[in-house]
Amino acid sequence: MADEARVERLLAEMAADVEWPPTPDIASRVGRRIRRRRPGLTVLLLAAALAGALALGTAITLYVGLRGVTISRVQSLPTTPASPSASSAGAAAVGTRLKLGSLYPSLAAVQQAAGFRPLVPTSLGEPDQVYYRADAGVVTLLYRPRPGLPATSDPEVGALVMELRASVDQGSFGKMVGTGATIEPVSVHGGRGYWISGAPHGFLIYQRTGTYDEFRLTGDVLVWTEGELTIRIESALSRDQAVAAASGVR
Amino acid sequence: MYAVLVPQVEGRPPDEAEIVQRAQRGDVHAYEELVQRYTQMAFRCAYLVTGSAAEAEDAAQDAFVKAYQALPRFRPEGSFRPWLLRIVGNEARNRRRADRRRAALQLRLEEGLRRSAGDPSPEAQAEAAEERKALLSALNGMVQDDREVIGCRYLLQLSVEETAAALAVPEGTVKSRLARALGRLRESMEPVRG
Repeated sequence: MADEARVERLLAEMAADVEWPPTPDIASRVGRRIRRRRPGLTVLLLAAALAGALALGTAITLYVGLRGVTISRVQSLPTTPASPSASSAGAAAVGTRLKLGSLYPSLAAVQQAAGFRPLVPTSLGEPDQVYYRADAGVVTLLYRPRPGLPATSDPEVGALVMELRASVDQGSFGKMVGTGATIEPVSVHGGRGYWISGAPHGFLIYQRTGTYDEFRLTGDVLVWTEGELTIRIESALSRDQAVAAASGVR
Repeated sequence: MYAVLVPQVEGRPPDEAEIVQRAQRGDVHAYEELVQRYTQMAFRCAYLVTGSAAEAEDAAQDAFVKAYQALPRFRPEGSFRPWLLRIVGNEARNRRRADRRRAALQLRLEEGLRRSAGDPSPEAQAEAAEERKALLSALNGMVQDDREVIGCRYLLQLSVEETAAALAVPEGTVKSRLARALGRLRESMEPVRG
């Protein structure tokens, strides 16, 4: 009498003998279909759109295939509002001045507030301060200048690593790039990213209402996606140094 | 302490998690590697559900494109195979619903390949062949739910978790359907075994 173990064994043997239809070459067709949606084409369109926009002297907003990021090129940048003195008292003076949100005592604490684990560039190590801005959903790791990490245009800032979840509204990050800046697609360990350099460019934090309330000038920025996060590193590092730092986030 | 920035050096073949992470960052080549790796599994799973090679091909292809679009929502700590199989199963079921007139899947076996290991006597060979014939007949005569769960679990050799994902049912349902289906297959073979 057949028992179920025997039936299972016969089924397992049968698996090798089933006459399946030939497996079609799906991979090449899938590759063609997803490439049609890729930012490679977007980048070309982006370059053409930029050229056109510059010729017309108009601003243009570009969606570059990075979740939560838009880049706009404009003829002239708004005037930076007067900032409180860099010597403002209190540990969170930089964060207040740059409107980074609330200061948190640790990465674990900010993780609890933000609902995601911020990634840390291993080459930069533990940040000096951690902020979370709830209205924009952005975590910021602040690194003070130190040997090997020169100050940005802000003497109190060596690097800002800002991270937000992909599910945050598309306008959470915004950049307005002056005409002197260049936008260069780069590869961050196989993924896509953009290196924005060459001239100070504006950086906006959008609130979820779609309005912005902050404008400041920054140095060079690398922005890319990492899993569910969109991350930007703002620093005085070279492009290759920034890409190397981005390639070692943990 | 601040370390000098050094690019990562990759000296070993990437495992699946690494490939998935690269694909999540927009690396199309990495995603194509995943498609290559799982085309056969996806196609055969879709074939079990739709009963049609053409529909299975379309379902698998669309599933891979949809999975690519959904990659940002894939959680890195999860397993990629069940996540993909869920999408494949959904695509296949949608196609099956759209074509209710389709005849039920009839699996066939390649002839003359199986030898009864360890017992080469002609009588044993004949008995084994009869068993296989009866089993296949019983399998082809099963209701769709039972045939799918047996097909996923034993013929595609998916895990219980993967079978549950492909069929969009809880793992407990997979186990209870398997127990029921195995019991029916056993009963169907009793006349053969005597």
